Amino acid sequence: MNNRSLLFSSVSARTNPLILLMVLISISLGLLLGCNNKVDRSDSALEEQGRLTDLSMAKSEWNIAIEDAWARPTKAGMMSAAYFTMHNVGSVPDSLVEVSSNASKDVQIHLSYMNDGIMVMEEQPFVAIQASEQIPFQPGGYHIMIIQPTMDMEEGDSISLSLYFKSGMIIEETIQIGNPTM
Amino acid sequence: MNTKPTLARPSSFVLSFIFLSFLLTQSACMNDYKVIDDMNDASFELVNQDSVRVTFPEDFRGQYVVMGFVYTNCPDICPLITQNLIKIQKDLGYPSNVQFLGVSFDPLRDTPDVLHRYKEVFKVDENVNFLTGEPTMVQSFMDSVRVRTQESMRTTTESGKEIYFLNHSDKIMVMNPKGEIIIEYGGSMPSIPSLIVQDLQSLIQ
Repeated sequence: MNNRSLLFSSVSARTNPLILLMVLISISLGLLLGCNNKVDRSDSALEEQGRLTDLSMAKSEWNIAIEDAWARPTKAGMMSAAYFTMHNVGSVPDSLVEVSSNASKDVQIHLSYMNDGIMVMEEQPFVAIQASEQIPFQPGGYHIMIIQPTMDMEEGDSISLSLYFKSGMIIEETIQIGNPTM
Repeated sequence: MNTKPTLARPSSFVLSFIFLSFLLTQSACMNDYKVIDDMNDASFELVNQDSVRVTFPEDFRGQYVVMGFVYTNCPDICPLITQNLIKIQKDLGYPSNVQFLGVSFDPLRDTPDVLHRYKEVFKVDENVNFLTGEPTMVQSFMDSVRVRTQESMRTTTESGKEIYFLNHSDKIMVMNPKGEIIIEYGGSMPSIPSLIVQDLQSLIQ
């Protein structure tokens, strides 16, 4: 047996239960952090969004919260929209640049507004948000259009929505189906 | 000597008089609705979500009609108009003498089957109908109620389907039992149901 093996076996023999406990705690903590699906800050997710990201912003500065999210009930093949409040609780601006969902391959950022007596809806390439700003995504304004979902979206169900930001931050949000405005 | 009660009596009287006069004037004006459009000038053959033929306005003569204009591929504004119709019906207590209509201005896509599914999504009752028809007939109908539409965006989706969206007027109207449009409001605003309920309650009394 060489010296290295000897050293390892002697340390391992003395501290095995303690090391084992520490390893288990570390794994548990890692899993807990990994299960926090609000924000995916993994490098692979960043690479995936490389064309959109502004990597000059430090990860520690990512601080967008999605609050009071809901999506309109609908049937498969029809239309729905998701709404929420986008809250920049940090100190640096950012921009929502893309969205995706498990409910449809076709999910877009849109804005409805009145123009010359006509209700207009336009796709938005991005929605910029300043530090400390709250932007409501609400009926008749900004909304996430869910085009022809592949599933019925019944009241009480939920869908997932991924929000991609210029900073590289990705927020994975679970959204309840329902209509609090009715 | 305390003069305050002497001063208070005439003030209260004058205020009460002004207030009562105001109420009387208001109530007199509330039933005085101008005719915005007389729908009796034409007749429109349409179908509802169950493919039942509907002749407008003949089939609704003798009843109040609350109608909004929608298309089912609209994800944001038209659901608001539809839910406002539903709220008006609910707040009026589901009256049997008031009909509620959602008329589609996108007849090419909004077939009766599609409208039937749309109605199911909103879980509305039998006094709410969604109408469509032949495109030329629907266009004539929309012209008669001054509902404007224009294609806003045509795109091929990630899943290879071509879709288009429409910019459109945002209206809810009330037609009286004589077939005259007498009330017209923006259709999607949250404050609209209470205004229309108030108007209808004063009319139906």
